Amino acid sequence: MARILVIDDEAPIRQNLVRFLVLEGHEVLQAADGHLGLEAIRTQKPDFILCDVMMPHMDGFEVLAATHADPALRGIPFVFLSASAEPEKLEAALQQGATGYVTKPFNLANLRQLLATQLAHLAPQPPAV
Amino acid sequence: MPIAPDQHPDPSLTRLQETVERLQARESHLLNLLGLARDAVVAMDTEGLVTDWNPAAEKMLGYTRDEAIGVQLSALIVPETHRSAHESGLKRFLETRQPSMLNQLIEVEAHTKDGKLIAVELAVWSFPSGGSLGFGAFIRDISERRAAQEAIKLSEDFNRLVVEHLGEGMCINQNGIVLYANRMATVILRRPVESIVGHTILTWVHPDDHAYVTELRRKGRDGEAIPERFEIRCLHMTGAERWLEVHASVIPWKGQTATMTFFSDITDRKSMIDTLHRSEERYRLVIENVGEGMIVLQGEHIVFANARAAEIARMPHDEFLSVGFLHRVHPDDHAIIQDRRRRRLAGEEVINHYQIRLLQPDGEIQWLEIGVTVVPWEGQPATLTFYSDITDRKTLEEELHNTSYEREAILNSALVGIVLSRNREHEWVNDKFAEMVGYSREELIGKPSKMVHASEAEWHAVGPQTRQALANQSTYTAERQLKRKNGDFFWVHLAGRCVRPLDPDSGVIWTFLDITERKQAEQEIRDALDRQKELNELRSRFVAMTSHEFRTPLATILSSAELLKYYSDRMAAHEKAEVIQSIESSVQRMTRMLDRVLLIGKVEAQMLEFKPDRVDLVALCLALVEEARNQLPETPCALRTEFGEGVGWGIYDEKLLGHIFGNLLSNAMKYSPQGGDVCFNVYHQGLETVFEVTDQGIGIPKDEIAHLFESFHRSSNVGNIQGTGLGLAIVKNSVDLHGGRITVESEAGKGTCFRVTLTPGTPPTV
Repeated sequence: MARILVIDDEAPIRQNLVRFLVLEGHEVLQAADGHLGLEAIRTQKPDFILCDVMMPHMDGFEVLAATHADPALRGIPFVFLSASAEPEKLEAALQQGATGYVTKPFNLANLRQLLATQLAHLAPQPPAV
Repeated sequence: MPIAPDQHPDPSLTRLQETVERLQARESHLLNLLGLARDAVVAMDTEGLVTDWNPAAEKMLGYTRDEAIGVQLSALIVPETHRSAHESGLKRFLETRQPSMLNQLIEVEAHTKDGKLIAVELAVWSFPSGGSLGFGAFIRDISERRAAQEAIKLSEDFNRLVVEHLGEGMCINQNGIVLYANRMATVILRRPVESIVGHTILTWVHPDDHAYVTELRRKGRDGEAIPERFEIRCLHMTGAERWLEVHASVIPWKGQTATMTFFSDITDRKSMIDTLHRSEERYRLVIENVGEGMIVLQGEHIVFANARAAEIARMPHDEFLSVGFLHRVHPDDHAIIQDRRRRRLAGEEVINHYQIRLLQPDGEIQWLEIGVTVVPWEGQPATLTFYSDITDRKTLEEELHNTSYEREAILNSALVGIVLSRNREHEWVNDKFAEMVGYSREELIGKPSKMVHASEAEWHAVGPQTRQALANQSTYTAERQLKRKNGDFFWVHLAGRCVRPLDPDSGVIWTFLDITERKQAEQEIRDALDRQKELNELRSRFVAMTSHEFRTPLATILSSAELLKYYSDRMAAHEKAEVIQSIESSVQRMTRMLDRVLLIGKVEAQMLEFKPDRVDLVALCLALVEEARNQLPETPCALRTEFGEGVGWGIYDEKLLGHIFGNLLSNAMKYSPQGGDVCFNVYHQGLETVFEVTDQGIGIPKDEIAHLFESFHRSSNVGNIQGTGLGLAIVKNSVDLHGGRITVESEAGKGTCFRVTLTPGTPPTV
């Protein structure tokens, strides 16, 4: 159970992601572009950020850079959603500090797996024996 | 039997013959003298009949010799008033032999043939003639002098006028002192009148002639005869010595006798004669020793030729004098010589210096340089020809000429431009260079080379480095842009080499190779590469774009399908409906995308079809606006559509209009992310229909408008706004198929207006 922010200008995809994450039991925030997304990051301090790369006004890379400029926000896992299939771009994303990427079209099962890995630190610790 | 003197010479006969010959010679000499005399000379016998009458008499008295001979002299020329005195005088002399007027100068009057009475001065003498007596007379016309004298006698004033205007100087002396001098006297003597009048004439007579003048004066005083005409020298105040010819006569002057003298300056005439005498010998020496041949031709005859003349023509002097060298003139030059001579004698202007060839008997050709002038010779016109042998010079000239001709021919047939320059001026250029730069050779030669450089600034800039290289290595090569006369630029590869090693001042030989084509090819390759690079970039952008455009709806479809697959039991019915709807929308979106890609393929392959038909413009335009709105449901733009008066049915291709305005409208909204008005105005303008799509969006940078309609081109300011770079290419193509026009007005940051102008009803056939 985590607070997850979805940033994507493509409404159908965003809505599907929101539905999926809610159904998975997360608290979900959404933003329709980079500016709104960054604002949400700063005000809501989500546990996890799922962000599209190609968006008008402010793309995913700019959102990442702005987020990491604030040390308080630097630790939030940041995963890119990308419609590009070019591996170099995705590698560049990781270089910039993204914690992962998902290429469109994505498989919900894979996305669930990725979330589980990245949110492991939030999972309730097994009770100490 | 006739005497044959050469067989038996009789001494007395020979002597007699000699005497006769001597006398004949003397007579002819005398006759000559008489013929040349300025005075009229007439003779008469004791009957008073004219026996001789010289040319001067013919001229003075008007009667020809033939008319006068045998006629009574008194009847012919003696006026009535003197006739009796004349006849009685003659009679008395014949009877008494007492001369009353012989050997005296007397002044009388004579009748001329045309009835004039002239004053003459007469000197008569007698001579024996064939056992009888003959009388001879010198008659001189003194009418002018008489007129002057009479004028003096008539009136002091009038006389002064006459005298003042005489062409000769005139003085009146009494007792050695000048009493009067006319104006001309002051001119001839170059003295003011006051330094002449009141002074002795010795003041201005040359000291060497003082004795002579003093003697003359003494004779005059003593009543002895003085020569009527004599020559003395005078001195100008400047010291210049002049010769005067003087006529003196005695006249009464205020109760006493005075001497009247007329004089004129004959120095020039005299010096000319002197010079002639003195210089003749000298000239002969010069002429004989001069290096040039010299001949004088009169008519067809050589009247003079110096030794050198024959020598140059390689002929013996005698032969030369008799036949000249005309027969040795080269046949090709004959016509020239004949023509020149004919024209010269006809008084035409002819070139006086020219060159001809002689063809010597041994076949050798000899060149002569000739100068011709017309001179008087023995009183007749003649041509004086100087000539010298210039064969050696000519041969050398010809060799030089041939060499330079060959050089010029070689250099001119070269395919490279060649220039010899000195001090950055064209000293010589070949045809090819002139052709390259578009000037004539005459325009280039002698001019600074800056005229063919791209600019004067560049000419100045490259000067020092070029000179440095030439001074260091003797050679210099570079690629440079030059300018033609018409202002066009072209590229050359130039190479320069000093005439003397390492010395640019000795001149530089330049060769120029036109490399415009190579440069052009290079530029074309560079441009093609740039275009290719640009195209590659555009293509990869297109690939990324299409990839994005396909992956986005695919992502929606897949996630929707999985939601339905795994979570349908936990989803409300309306939620499921929404998810299914998103699948449908995404499939539509992908289909549109596919259509576009296929369409642009057709456009690129020029396979787009034009099928005009009746179209309701209003309905179509409204439908297109609606479609555009549906494609971008979240647009913040306000769409307005306006139709001008009369807009309705027309003949268009509905599909193509769909491509045109579908794209323009969706672009208008897409590139107006901040919203604003998007207006679609349709109106008639004359026979044309204008469609305007105006937005208030991001606009198009000015310098990119030219590329706007190229496939895959997207403006630099689109940011992350999605697009394929295909829309406007399709628009342009569709407008072209309609035979219409499309224009753009745009300013980055302010908005854009696309204006499409179509002519309905007159669609071009495809």
